[in-house]
Amino acid sequence: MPIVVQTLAGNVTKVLVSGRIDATGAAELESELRQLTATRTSLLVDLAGVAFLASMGLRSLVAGAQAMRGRGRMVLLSPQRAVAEVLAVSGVDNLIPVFFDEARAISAVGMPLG
Amino acid sequence: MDDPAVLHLQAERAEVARLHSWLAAAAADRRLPGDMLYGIEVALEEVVMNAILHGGIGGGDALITVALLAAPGAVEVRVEDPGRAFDPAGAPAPEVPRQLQGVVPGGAGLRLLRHFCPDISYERRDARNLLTLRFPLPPG
Repeated sequence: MPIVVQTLAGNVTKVLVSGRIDATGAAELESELRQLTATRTSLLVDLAGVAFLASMGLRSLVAGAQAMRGRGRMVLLSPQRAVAEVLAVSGVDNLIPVFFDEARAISAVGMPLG
Repeated sequence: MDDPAVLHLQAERAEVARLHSWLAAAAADRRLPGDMLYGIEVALEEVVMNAILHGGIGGGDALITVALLAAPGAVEVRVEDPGRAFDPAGAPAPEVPRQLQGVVPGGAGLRLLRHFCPDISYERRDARNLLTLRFPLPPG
């Protein structure tokens, strides 16, 4: 599963995930997020290219957001309809903010920790 | 009723990739709509991963058997595993999490399963979990 990491202005790290986050993809995503959450403080996970997400992928995202707690922020960007449904039904959208506009996502993730 | 497509999986995480490719082929053979396939995939990944992670059979020789068949007005998926007894139809669903702290990753699975498959029946027979998931075909 392709994962591309970009550093944007303001020290925001964008993680572009594409393809299917099935059980195998979830393991790859979890290991990538584990590395990033250890060193970065503003993480934007772009899900626009993700065609499939289910319970294993949710675990990886929640584990990433938990690792960021207290030291940075992680948000999700532009999930496709079916992926957004999975985020909503599971309640994960309560835990990790979901944005459909990149500029808003960037300003949310760049906010100082309150 | 057609001949079921049947798959045997070892109880390990890497096998779930085979589950997804098998399901895609079985769905294509039966010309299932794409929206419907998504729901079946989410539900099946949850059931199979649950058996692997929580059934006490992970990494062993135990096999999980999955079958898919087209029934009148619905697609039926049956999952059989020799793991610990677990009835996802009767188990209380965990509450929707409100904050990250203390969230058990994976607690969302039961809610996902029931959302994508409202018709679930469960039976425990000969120390095996037998689960039948029915997905109604869209009208027309």
